[in-house]
Amino acid sequence: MKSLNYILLAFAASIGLTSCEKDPQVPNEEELITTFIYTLTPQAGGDPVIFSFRDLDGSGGLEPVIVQGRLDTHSIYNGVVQLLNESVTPVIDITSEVAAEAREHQFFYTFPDSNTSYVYTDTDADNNPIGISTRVTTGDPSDGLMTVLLRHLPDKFAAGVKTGDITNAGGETDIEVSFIFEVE
Amino acid sequence: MIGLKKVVFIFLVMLVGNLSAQDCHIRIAGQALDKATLEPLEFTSVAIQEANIYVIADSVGAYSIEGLCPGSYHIHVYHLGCPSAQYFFSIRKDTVVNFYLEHHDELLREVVVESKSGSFELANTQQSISATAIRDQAGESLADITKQIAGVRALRNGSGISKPIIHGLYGNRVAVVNNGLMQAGQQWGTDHAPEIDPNAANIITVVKGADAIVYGSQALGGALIVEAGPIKRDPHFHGTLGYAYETNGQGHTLTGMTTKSFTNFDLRLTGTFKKFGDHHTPDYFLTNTGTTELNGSMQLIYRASENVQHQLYYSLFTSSLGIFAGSHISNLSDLEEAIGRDEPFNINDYFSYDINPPKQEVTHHLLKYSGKKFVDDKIFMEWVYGLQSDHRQEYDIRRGNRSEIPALDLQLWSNTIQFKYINDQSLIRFKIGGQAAYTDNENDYDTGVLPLIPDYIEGSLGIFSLLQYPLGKFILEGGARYDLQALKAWPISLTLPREIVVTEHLFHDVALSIGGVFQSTSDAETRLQLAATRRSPDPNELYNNGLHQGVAGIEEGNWDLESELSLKSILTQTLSIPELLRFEISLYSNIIYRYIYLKPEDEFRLTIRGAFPVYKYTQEDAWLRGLDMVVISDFSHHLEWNARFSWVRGSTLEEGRPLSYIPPTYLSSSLAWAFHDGKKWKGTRATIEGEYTTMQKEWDAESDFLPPPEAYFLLNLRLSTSVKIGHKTIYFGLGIENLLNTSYRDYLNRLRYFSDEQGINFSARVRYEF
Repeated sequence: MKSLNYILLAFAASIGLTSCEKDPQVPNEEELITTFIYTLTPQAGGDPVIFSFRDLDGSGGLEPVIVQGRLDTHSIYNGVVQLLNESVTPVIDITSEVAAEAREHQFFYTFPDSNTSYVYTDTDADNNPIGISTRVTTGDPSDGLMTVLLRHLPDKFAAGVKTGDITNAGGETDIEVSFIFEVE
Repeated sequence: MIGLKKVVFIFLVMLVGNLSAQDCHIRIAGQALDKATLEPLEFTSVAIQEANIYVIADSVGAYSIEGLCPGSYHIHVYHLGCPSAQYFFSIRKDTVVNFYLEHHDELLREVVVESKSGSFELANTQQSISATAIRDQAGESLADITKQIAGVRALRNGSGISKPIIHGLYGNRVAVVNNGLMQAGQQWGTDHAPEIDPNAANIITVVKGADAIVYGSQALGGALIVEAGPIKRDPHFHGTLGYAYETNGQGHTLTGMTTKSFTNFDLRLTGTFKKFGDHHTPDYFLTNTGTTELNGSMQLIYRASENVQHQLYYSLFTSSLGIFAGSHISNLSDLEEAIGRDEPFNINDYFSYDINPPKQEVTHHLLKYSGKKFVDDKIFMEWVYGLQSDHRQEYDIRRGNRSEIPALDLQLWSNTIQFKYINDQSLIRFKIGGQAAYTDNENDYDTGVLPLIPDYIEGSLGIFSLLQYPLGKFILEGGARYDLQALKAWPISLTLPREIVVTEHLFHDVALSIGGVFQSTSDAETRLQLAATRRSPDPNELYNNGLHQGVAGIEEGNWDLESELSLKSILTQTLSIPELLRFEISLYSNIIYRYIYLKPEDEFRLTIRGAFPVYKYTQEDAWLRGLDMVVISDFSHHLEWNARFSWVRGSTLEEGRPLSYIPPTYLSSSLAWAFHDGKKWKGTRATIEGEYTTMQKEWDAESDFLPPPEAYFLLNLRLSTSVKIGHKTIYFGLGIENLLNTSYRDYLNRLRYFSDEQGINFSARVRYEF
């Protein structure tokens, strides 16, 4: 629409402006979290099991890429979360941002049933859990959904929050991802 | 209801007598009359300040004062139950001065704004709120003040943000006209309020009908007009100084206004400072709902000659307001959790003035030059140039010390030129005019967040004409308007890699209106108006893209939107029984073809923050219809009863699906008692008011998370009085809102998912008029 440019230019000219162009930029979305990786390493040794969720375009329509793994029964795993912003180069490690503000963040995990349980293995300055590192213990076989939430500014002193009960935590959800979780 | 005060509008007519002047033997005489009915107003008091003379008119409103020397005088006129009015003029010889006082002006009568010509206004469906009523509500927001007009409600986003809903329409469909200029701000979201200080205004008018055609395509649903108005020609400093305190939010409001007239200049200055902290429901504090505002304005009129005047107007509006901490959610599970709670998350058990993120900071400048030339007493032309700057910064709670960096940072510039020619003298009275505007909206990209609304420039042109033809007891009127809107925007793609897309849109719109007034007797008037108007889509509807965090939804604009077409008809019947009752009923129907709204898609979009519902701007034919009623009754000079009722429905035309944010049925009734005036204490009134809001049963479960809240009843109490000290007056007001401390939620408040409304509030106001 060339004519539209002329019309806009006419308006601009009518009040003494001479251009109707703009030069917007794409903001640097450094705060964005695109990638969640949960690595579960068996204490007894062996290959780590990886759950990952990649959503590179934020709220855009691109389907996220989800990778999920399978755990053994009656085993103990050391879990570590890694958060990345892969929409920018170089890739930003968001885990360290979360660790730096440990008191303002907490991960919450839910497993399909009581056959699988977890405990936090890290603490913030108040001796409250963060949840970047965890220990997961499996029992009898189970099959269902595992959900991981990262809450910003939860009330870590509220009842139950310390042990991973999200009910009274409040705050704002920065991450909420679900995986098919199988123990066999 | 708040505006029960009888507000006075005085029209001064001076008829020069033919007796020659003698030193200190001048006589002035005249009559005080009700402007609407021309009935005499008995026992009106008239005081001449400089001469220290005070008389009371007789039973037919006639008065006479003798023994005045030639000179300039302040004259105070006062009638029972009305605030006193003050005038200033020079007297050289015997003079007849009639005072035309108008009752109930803010509810039923239009206000003539053009001072000199008495210029015609269409027999319009519009109502005004006077300066006194505005000052009586110092501290309230613009939208909350207009709520007292039947058919107007306020759409709110917590305590500090509210915008008017007129006949069920709001936002992009209600034009906000600030001193003759279309307010150029970021008002596209329900979480953005008009950047206007009501205390700088002397008249606030709501236009609901076809005459909104003057204001362009944005006024499809009506217009809210805020004006400083003319300045009294008085060579002394006059004005008001007011202070208000409210217990709920521990809010302080300080307002001031002064005017002064020089030989060729008239000057008015206004200023407002407002500070509120956390509001309180009956059960808990609404943490982070404080507001700070600092506003000012200057109006300078230069009378170049008898027929030409120039005016310069500048206003500044700055505000900082907190968003309720308990409404801070980022995805659906947060929302569901928040909805289920008795008490919101993140609230403190103590009061604070602190405003923390999430918060908004807004600065709005408006500069206007206008000139007016009278060709004849009733023919004039006006030309206007306006410049506006609107800077809006919205802060969020962010990670990594980014909370101090705004998440949204928009700078909007707007230039407007306008021209108007009014002929009020010819057989067919007419008004023609045009507007051209150029708007530039730019994001600051240091936010690190994809902007919800992209950079854009917009050029618009509008021309209109209005005609009015009196035909005996009929007045016929008609109007036409053409609008052109050219839009160029630079949205950022949501796909990867992010890139800038350039888009262009061009819209042409034509609007037509016809109307008629039939006045069978002076006590009965029927008005009918039909209007066909169009509105082109606004940038947010076209280009919005991304996550709207506060509502946990992804909103998508639609580049294919076309202009809406509205067919609105309003039928109004006014009846009055002198000395007893005034009644007005208004029926309306508004069919909007291609009504633009956010429609939930059959899609949940999975992101790393969870799954979000997707809303897309869609067009569908819709139908709004409603009924407004007002009754004012003077049982006696002491007792006044007032009731208002409004009912409105809005749904899609084909499937009959209810539209969002249609105000529930509202009924209010108040009883006021005016006490006898004492020697010093005058205008003492006590008012009790009940407001009943029904539950909105018409709602769409697909577009809402929660059923509308239950019906509720509020009880309010008000006391006001004034005392004269010398020739100055001090007004006092006490009020209790939500006297029963009712816990309730309001369907028209976006924060109803998270918290109750404010509990009981005591307010105290004092105002010194000099």
